[in-house]
This record gives sequence, structure tokens and C-alpha cells, in this order.
Amino acid sequence: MDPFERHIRTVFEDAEVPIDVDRIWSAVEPTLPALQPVSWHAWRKWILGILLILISAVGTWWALQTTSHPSPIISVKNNHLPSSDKGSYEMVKTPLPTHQGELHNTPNSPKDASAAILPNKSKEQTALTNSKDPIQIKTDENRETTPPKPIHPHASSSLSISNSKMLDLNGEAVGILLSHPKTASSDQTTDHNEGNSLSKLSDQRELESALARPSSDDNAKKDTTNSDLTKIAPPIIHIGIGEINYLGIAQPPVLPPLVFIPLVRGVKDCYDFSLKVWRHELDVYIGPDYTPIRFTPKTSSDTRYADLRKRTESSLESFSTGVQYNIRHRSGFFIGVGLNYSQIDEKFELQSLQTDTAFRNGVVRIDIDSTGKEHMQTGQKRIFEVTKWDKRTYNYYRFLSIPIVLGYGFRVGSLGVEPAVGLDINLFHKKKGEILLPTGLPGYITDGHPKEVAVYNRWAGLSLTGSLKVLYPFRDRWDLFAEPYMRYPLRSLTIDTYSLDQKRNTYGLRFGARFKF
Amino acid sequence: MDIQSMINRSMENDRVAQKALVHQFSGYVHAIALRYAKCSEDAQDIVQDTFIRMFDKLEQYNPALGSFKSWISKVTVRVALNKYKRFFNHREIPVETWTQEPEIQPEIYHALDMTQLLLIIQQLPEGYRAVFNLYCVEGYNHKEISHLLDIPDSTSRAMLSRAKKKLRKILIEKYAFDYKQYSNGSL
Repeated sequence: MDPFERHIRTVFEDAEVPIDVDRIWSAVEPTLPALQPVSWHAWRKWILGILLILISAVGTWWALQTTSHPSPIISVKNNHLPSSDKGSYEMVKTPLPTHQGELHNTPNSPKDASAAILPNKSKEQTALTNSKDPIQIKTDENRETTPPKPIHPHASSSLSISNSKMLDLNGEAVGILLSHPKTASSDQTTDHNEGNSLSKLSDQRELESALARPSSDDNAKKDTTNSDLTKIAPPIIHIGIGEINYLGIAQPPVLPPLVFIPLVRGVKDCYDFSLKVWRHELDVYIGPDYTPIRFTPKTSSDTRYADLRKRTESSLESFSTGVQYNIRHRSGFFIGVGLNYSQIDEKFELQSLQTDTAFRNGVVRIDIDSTGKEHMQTGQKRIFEVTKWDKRTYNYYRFLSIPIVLGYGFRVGSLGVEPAVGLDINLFHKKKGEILLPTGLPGYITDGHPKEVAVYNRWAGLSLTGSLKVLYPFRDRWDLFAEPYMRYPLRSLTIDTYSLDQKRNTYGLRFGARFKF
Repeated sequence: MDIQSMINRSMENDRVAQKALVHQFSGYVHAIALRYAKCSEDAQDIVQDTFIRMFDKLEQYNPALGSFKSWISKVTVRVALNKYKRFFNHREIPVETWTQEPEIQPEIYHALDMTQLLLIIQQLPEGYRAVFNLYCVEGYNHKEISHLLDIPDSTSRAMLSRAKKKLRKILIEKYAFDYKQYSNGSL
């Protein structure tokens, strides 16, 4: 092989000539085999995810349904309480079917507890109560009872009244039966006046029908389950005395088990931070972020470069995940510290032409002598090399930080709300990929890459963070929450000598669960 | 994503990996195609056909036998040769007695960059161009060339000889360069 052949081989060895790749790909792609269907393994994940979402949605809907009809609260004055039970208690959730008349605690006449319940009762009504009312009244001071006789075929249990101990009634029964008085009150609006409605009931049959008859309006509003419950639920009489919070029918009516399942959980309004002085919680969360790219040129001449960087980099996706440990005072204030991992994925695309000047040996002049003969003059000649950049790189930026927040929690209905602010202390900042450099060429920013260009700080610094957490009590010790939040960095990610300042504001929505120790 | 993972994923029909392979090697394949094609349109056709064939035969690539780059260069060469196959069908060129020509001075061809060399090579007739490329650039010997092109060894040698003469002529014509005068030191 002569030197010319060797030269040819050297020139063409590993040579590349740019070509319109998209055009080639558009021609090649249709000839490729069709995409394979997604494997069952992937489908399982989708099905599982959809099921989880459905279950969450149904659970949330049901919970909202059951909490959307708060019961009236009737306060019991302390002077109505026996002296030993006086205190600051309030009788809560004591719905009173108004067509039964107002119910008052009348400890002064304990011997006639039934009369206390029905103040306007006539002899006939007293007889009715004594003979038909399934309620068995017990008090510490008077154990006289009337023989229980169910008024409703399903209401075979008896009602106990105690002024010293909370009756062994759990939240389930109360929770279900709270919806019933609404029916009664609907009846009241149509048939009876408040206060003396019971007196207008002329006989037992009328009373029974009034108690058992659901309102047509309510039927229209309520779902089937609630309507059924309304039909079969017996009347409720709640009297609060001293520590008594709830009094009602001890034996709940026949209910579909499915309806009762969610009621097994603890008291829904459980955001009572006064139970303990300090409370410990652990939050686990994950969620999508939005991190717009923001460059600030340090000089006016860098404006174009900042614009070029914006044009060559585009966000793909970003997310955060982490844990946070909270210590909460019973006043509602809490301090939290955690570990947060954030990742930002971006795409770097560069398509540009660049012309460089180079010098090569070659024929620089041709002289023609008097005989017409050409004489070649060789030497260095200037040539232009055109380079076409068609580059696409997927970059990522990873952040690990310790958030320290201070917040305050309070109740809104059955939900908990917690605004919090704090400081995010970055532990490290890792990145991989390429960016456009001020020279117009792409450069590596990958940590540890041999050609890494020093653009970014290793440490992202401090950031201010703020969030608003909305919690939903899921189980006795578990809450679910959604938390919109933002993070504002206090310093630039780039080094001082770099042409641009780059800050990454983060706006995100976290979803997570809280475990209360 | 390294080359091997791109290949593996491409074999699983992963579009992203397939496109990445096209992006990665399109320039290289194009450079090879330009040497064998007579114009840039033909070269683009060769590039397309090369990638189609590459994805079709990807499972035949064995990393133990060589790099992916050399494999894809062989695919490109074969695709290019197929394109001009009709030229070689039953073609036999009589072996002519040719004398060893003096070598071209390095100063001359060193002054030529890749684009200029490509332009010169593209001016060769199809058969000469193929043999010249296979012998001088790809490094095949005449036996291998004869097998590839289905021509006798002697034809391969003759084609190479004529290709070189033609190249010399083009060099002289294009650059108004009197090679003989230059080599005799009269310049």
C-alpha cells in the first residue's frame, strides 16, 4: 500500500458526514416491526394503580357523604347536671327528632325520667311512652324503668341513660344514626311545629308513622343506602349528662355490613391535639414538581447566551419524594425535619452550524509562463470547516436536602390543615448531561466526567420552602394528605465565574401518608 | 445508554433505542455511503437501506467478533455494493499490462481534505470506485473483493489499476497539476 492509499484510508477512517437524521429516521421507522404489545407485567401495574385510585376515590366519596350532614349540637347547662358531674362538658351530637318534642335533662325529677324526656306529654302520651317506647331509662338516681316494648320491629334494643359514665356505645352506632334525625326534622317542616310537635300527635299510630316515615325530599337527596337506613333506623333520643357524650340506641338497626365498615375507624374528628402535650408523627410523601428554567445573565452581553440556553434545554419531568418527622405541641404548632430527594429531568437539543477556519497545505497559485506552461505554487491555504451539531442529550439534576419546617395545624371540618414554612438545606447536587457553553459548543456537566465543564456548584445552598398540607383521617393512626408546596433557592446553582445565574424555583404537589405515634 | 444496551433494546423493538442508534451512526454510515455513491441522493438511499438492513439483521451482530462500528461499516458496504451490483454482473475486464506509476507526492494529496477527496472518488466509474474503496479504504484484498463482487481476481486488479490512473488524471485535471513535471522536479 503506497502512501497515497494510506492517506486515503486515514482520511476516511471513522469519518462522519452530517446527514438529516430525522429524514432518515422517518424513512426507516415505517419499515421496522410494529411495536410489541405491552407485557402483562406492565399491565398488572396499570390495573393495580387504577384499582388503588378507584378505591381511594370511593373511600373519599363515602367519607364525604357520611360527614356532610353534621348533627345539631345541643348544649347542656351545667346547672342541669348533678353536682358530682358538673364540669365544662358539652353534650355533643345529640340530634333530637323534633317531632318527639324537645328533650331536656331533668335531674330534679328523676323519678319521672320519661316525663323529663317528653315535657309536654299528656297522659295518653305518657302511657304511650310507658307502654310502647322501647327506651329503657336508667339513671344513677333512679333505676325505675318502664318495661321495654319495641315500637319498631327492628328496634328491639333498649336505650340506657346514665349520668355518671359514658355508656358503652361506640362511634359506629352514633355515626349511622346521626343521619336519621334529619328525616325527622324534615317531617317537622312539613307536619309539625318545633317544640310542641309531639303534643300534636294524637295517638301511637301517628307517632309510629311519623317516626318511621322518611321525607320524600330527603329520599330524593340521599342515596339508596341512606334511604334504607332512614327507613329502618329507629328513633333516637340522645341525652347528655355530665360525661355522657352520646346516648342512643345501643343496638344499631340491621345494616348492610359494607356500610358499617368505615365506621369501625376511630372518631372522625380526631384532630384533637390537646390529648397529649407533645405528639410525634412521620410523613412519607411523593409527588410531581414543576421547575421552570430561569437564567439571569450577569452582563447584557450574556443575554443572547441565556436565550440560547433556554432554547436548547427543555423540561421533561421532575418529582420529589421524602420523609419528614414532626414533633407537635398540643397547641397545634409543630416542627418538622426530614430528608427530601428531588430529581429534574431535562432534554438538551442542539442543532446548529459552526464554521471554523483552518490552514492546510495545498496549491495556492498557478503561474503561466511565456510558453504557456503552468507552474503550481504550493503552500498553506485557508479553508473553512463547517460543523453541524445535531445533538440530543437527556440531562438530570438530583438534589438531596434536609427540610426543616415550622407549622401550625388546625381543623377545618373533618380535615386537618397545616401551613408550614421552613428552610431546605441542600446536602448535595448531582447532575449528568450536556449544556450549551458560552463558546457555542456543547459541554459536559456530568459529575466526574473527564471533560466536565465547571458550571454548577456542588452544593445548591439553602432554599426557602412553604407548604399547605391538607390531611384526611384515614385510620386511627394514619392520615392521608395532599400538600402543595414551593421552594425558592437563595443562591444560584452556577459558579461565580459563569456567565449566567440559574435558580430553580420548585412548585409541586406531594401526596403522602402520616403515621401518628 | 451505551452501544450494547442500545443494541439490546433495539432488538426488543424499542423505538427510542433504535432512533438513538440511527442518530449515533448516521454520520458514519453517510460518510461510507458517499464514497460508494455517485451522488448525495444515492448516498442517502444507501444510508436508509443500511439502517433498514441493520435493524433486520441486528441479532446477527456478535460483539466478540468486532466492534459494532466495523459491523455496521460492512453492512453499509454490502448495501452499497448491492445497489450497483448490476454493474459487476458478468463483467470481466481484460488484464492489461500496466507499469508501476511513480507515487503521487504527499504534498499534493495532503492538501486535499475529505470533501475534496470524496468529490474526486465520486468521479470514478462505479466499478472502479467500488474496487478502489474496498481495497484502499476498507482494506480488502483482491481475493476478498472478487468474492464480494463476484468477479475474477484479475478483474479486481485491473479495476484498481484503472481507478488509480483515473484518480491521477482527475487530480491533474482538477487542480491543473502536471504530475509528471512535478515529480521530475521541474516545478
